[in-house]
Amino acid sequence: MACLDESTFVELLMGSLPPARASEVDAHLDTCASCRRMVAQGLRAQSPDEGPPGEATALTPPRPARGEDAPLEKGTAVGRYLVLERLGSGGMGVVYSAYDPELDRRVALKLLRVGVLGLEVEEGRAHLLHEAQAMARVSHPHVVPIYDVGTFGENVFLAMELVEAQTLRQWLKAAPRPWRQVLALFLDAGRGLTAAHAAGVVHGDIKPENLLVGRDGRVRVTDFGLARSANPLGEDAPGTPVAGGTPAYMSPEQLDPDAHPDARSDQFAFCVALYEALHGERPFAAATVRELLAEIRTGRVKPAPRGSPVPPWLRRVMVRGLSVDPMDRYVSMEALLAALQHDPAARWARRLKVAGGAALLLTAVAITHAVGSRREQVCAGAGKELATVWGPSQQAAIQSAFLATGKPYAGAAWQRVRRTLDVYTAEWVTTRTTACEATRVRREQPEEVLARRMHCLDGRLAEVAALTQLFARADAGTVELAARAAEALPPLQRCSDLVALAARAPEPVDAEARARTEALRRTLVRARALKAAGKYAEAVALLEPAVKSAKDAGDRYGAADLLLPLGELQEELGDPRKAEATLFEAVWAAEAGRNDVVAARAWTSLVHTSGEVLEQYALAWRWKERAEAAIERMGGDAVLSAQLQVRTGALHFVQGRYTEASEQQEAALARLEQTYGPDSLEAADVRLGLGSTRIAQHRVDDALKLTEQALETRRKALGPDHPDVARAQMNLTEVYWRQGNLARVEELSRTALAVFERALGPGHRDVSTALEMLAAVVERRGRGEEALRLQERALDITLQVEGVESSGTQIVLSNLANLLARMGRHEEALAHHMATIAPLEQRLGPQHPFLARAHRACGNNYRDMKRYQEAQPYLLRALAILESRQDDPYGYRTGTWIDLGRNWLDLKQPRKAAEVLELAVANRSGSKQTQGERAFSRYALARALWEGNLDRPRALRLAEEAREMFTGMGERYVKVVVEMDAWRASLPRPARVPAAGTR
Amino acid sequence: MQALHRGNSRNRITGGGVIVALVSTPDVSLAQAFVAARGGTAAPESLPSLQERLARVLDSARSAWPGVELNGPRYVGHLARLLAGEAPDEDVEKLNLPDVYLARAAADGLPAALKAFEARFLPEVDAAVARLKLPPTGLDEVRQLLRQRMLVGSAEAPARLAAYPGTGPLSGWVRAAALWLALDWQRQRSGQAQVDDGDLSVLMAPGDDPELAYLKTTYRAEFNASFAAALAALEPRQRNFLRLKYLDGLSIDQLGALYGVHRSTAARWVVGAQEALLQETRRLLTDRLRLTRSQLDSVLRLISSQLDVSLSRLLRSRLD
Repeated sequence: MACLDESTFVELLMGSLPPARASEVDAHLDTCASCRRMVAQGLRAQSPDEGPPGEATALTPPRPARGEDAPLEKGTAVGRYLVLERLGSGGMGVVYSAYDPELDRRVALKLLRVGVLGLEVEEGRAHLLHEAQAMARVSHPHVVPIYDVGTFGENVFLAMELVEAQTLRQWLKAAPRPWRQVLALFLDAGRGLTAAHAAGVVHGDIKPENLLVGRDGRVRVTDFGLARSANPLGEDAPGTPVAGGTPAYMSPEQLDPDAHPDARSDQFAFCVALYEALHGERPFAAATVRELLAEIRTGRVKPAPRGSPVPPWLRRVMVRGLSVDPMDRYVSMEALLAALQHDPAARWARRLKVAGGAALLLTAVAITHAVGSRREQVCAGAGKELATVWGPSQQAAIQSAFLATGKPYAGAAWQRVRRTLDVYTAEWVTTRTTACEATRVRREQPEEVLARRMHCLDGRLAEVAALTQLFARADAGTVELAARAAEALPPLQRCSDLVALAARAPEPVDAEARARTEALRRTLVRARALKAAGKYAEAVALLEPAVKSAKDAGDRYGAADLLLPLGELQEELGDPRKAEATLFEAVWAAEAGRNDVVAARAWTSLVHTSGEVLEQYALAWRWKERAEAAIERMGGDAVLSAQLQVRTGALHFVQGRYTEASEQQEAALARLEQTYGPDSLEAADVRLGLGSTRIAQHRVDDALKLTEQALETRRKALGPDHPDVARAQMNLTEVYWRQGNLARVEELSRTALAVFERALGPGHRDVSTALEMLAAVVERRGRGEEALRLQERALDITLQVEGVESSGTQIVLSNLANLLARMGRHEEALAHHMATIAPLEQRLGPQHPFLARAHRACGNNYRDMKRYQEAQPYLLRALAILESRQDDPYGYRTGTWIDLGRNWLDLKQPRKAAEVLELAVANRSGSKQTQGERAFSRYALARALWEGNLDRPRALRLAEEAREMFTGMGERYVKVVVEMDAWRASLPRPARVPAAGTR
Repeated sequence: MQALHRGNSRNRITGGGVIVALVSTPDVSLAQAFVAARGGTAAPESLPSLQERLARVLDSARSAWPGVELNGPRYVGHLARLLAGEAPDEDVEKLNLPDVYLARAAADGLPAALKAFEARFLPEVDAAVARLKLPPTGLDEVRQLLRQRMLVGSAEAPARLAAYPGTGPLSGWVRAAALWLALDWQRQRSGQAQVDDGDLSVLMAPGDDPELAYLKTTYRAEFNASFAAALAALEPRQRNFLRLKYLDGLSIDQLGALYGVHRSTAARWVVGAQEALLQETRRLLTDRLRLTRSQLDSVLRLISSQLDVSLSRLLRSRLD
């Protein structure tokens, strides 16, 4: 057919083309790009992305998704529930009433759609399941409780309390409500939200439809987190915001695809809903999303309607909650609620009441203190108990067992174990005595609290006992890890922390439960000792059946205790995906069983596993927030916070944000030094991380100091043959490499390689690290073929361990390419380098220095092949990436300037060359330059100035300086000096050079 | 007699409530006008029920546009012409009756109708045209042209509004017609160098996937040939879907609107087309690579085994 005419075009746009014509049109569009483009342009103009046609105003609640899935029939089994009837449907899915035969009650069953696009099903479901589990953790009278979550075919289901309720909107319509009543209702709903935030759950879609008012008048918040999760891959962003979310109530950051909505986004939506409930209209005058955003950005909250009874102070609070910048809102939901209760009229009365209460309390304390006296002797038993665990006989047995292994470092290990356990047990005695006296002598704490503290302390002593028993039968492997095991004993402060204690496991009520708890504790202590001693497989074998029996007994608290070390062990054994799954299970059990410490630690571990190991950075950042929330819920814990900072720092590091990384690492180091001492292994771990960051920050001397200190600590504590020592050695080789100390690099990587191969087997990723360093140094020493073989082995291992996609693999590939390039195999090198660019950008982001490095390498490969024109865009891009950053990571800028300058020279553009080379010669990056960089930049600038006839006398001076530098740099640069001399000789005689300024 | 009288007097009688002079004869004027416009005859006994239906239709259409007084027989006659020849009379109620009413009235130049049309439909149309980002002069010219063609017409073409078929909403129809005018204007002005962008190989930009990039640099020719062959094997509609989605950047909703299907159906179509493309590419590529297997080193072997995954991820990432 011919090109489209008007009537066909109109019918096409209206979707009313009869099928026969439609296929004709298809055939035409297939061959006529111009018609196709007209259609596309027309469609885009007709229904721009902010809403599908027919939804001209975006401020109406979204239409309920048309149920494409057939409704479930009565009696269908979903999980253990039987469907009764369909109650309704919303954007997220369909709600049924259902019967739970196990607990003989009716529940509401919500079936959530995972996503329209088949491809995302797996991912979407896992995501939704996590979110749902997070919701299930929230337990609060003002939150609709979630009983259960699970999957049903491709969908996720939630079993919730069946609430007979009306939505807030219906409640408001049903009768006139005085503002105080509305406010009281919102305060309750806000308390529910606060509880959710404390559990690390953001609602994401607060609106009147999600606030239910029951027959009892109680308000409940429902549909947590669904708006964000139900469609994690919103395909129409930024126009159509989050599917299911309702734009009218959304915070501006929720409408922005780059921003991260958090608890303060809920605060915003909460204030929109409150404002509407109080005034009968929403706070911003807007008919479309675009207008709405504009109004919010300018902060134009409508004036209150004439005659509104809402007091001005209340309006001020809401307006602050509606700030465009989350930083300008209240710091938390709690703070907002406090402000909402700050009715000046009511304040005075309350203050009087509080003062009275305090006075009363003081009197009571004075009296009890007077009564309780001279009962100190009741609490003297601690020392005696300790003697059975860490007495002279145990110590002697351990010492001889250690020395009997004949390991050269057994003596040192023993010294270290003894010192660590002495300190730990001394603190234990003090803590226990104080705890006892607080109840028995000073009567400050109730018996019940004492019981909890004692229970906690008994547990700690059991850990010491398990460790000493293991040490008394030590073999060489145990001795290797003994020091680390001793340091890994759980800190005692937590037994004094009343908040943390209150969060402890419920005391077992019957004898059977008590016996089970005791068995579980023994398993745990033994597993922890095995793990600390490096016997991972044994520890896993011990934990797995214990996890099962805890689950069978319905003991979530205990299951969480066991799952955490299990997950960590699985990662040590090289199965990060399994580890991740287990850690999620741990989180779930911990939250459900209110095991807050495990929850915090499991989230922290997940930051590492999902982020650094599996390179799912976006997820890892969310886990970090969860970990923070979990720690906060415990009332804060400095050591856990520091451990989380270590993980966060590492995450910043791999993503190329070195300033942020170092901040986290410095803070963590200070805190851990204070807790464990400057010579502790904990501190050494952080030093190594900080050392790597310093290298990236081009502060090589600092890196050297930190790394050497960490290596020394590890060597003393663990002996020379320990893999951790070898790892620290590898960190040190990086420093030496940058200092050009090839001999040390070779020596250290060879010994490390031997340790890794022996201790971890030939296929471990650490082996590959050592091989790579060795390959680099071997090539520098002129044995290219050998280097290539080593590097290929490293690549094989990395591919096996990490898969093709990881950034680790890309880096190994690019190192291989570098070797190839140095051996003159430019085509191959170029292909490899090119191949790394896209995955590096995808994994590490557009500003990562490794991405710049990859571009620069491509450019230089082209240069090597004298294809200067093709080199140019790569070098420019490399420079653009580097100049987009605040810092100058690895001091890459200078080298890139020089390469670019030389390329301009080869392209006969001396003026442009001179421009960038001046930057290098003047050292505008401020980073420390190498001798080579200084010499090459001068030489290249000299040529640029000469060839462009810009300043020939200066050119000659610079050339002279460069020549002197090269001459002092040894044999490798003889060739360069020869080349320079040839260049000089080719120039016209200096006498004919006009002096600068005379022309 | 009466029917004839009123039928000729549309310029004088503006109200609908003309008093029927003879009480004994029921008024079937609307029915008669309707039957006449359909070019047929009807049994006299069927007229009263048709009259009743049309009176109801007229009332509801009128009430949507208070103040717009279109002559009743004129309106039903127009409705009759819009119906397909073989469609039963009842089908008249399937049309967008108030929209047809206004379109007819505006095409007839009734001032109240022109005003209503201007206020209700043109702002949205202007907004749609504005999204095409024409130069300001072009925008004005297109607006002028639109009003001229829609409302006034010329010697050889009557006011275009009279051609509104009544099947979809008037707003969409006017908007589509306006967009046609604008795009046509643009096409004529720019002289449009016919850029042939029918090349879906952007789908294979090496920016997305390491394996793919590797393959591409190494076996560029094989890859391109496989991809092109796989693409050629698709249905024209599948190709259009992929082009409209990836080259022209339409969203799933817009694709659904184009083919008059729900977004989930459109999404399924896109995914289906991709899937077909992928599988065929992979099949062809495996065939071709087998010929040169001796050249595959260990990395490449791994890559080809994962090609499946990487291609689907590539296309998925494009879909997000």
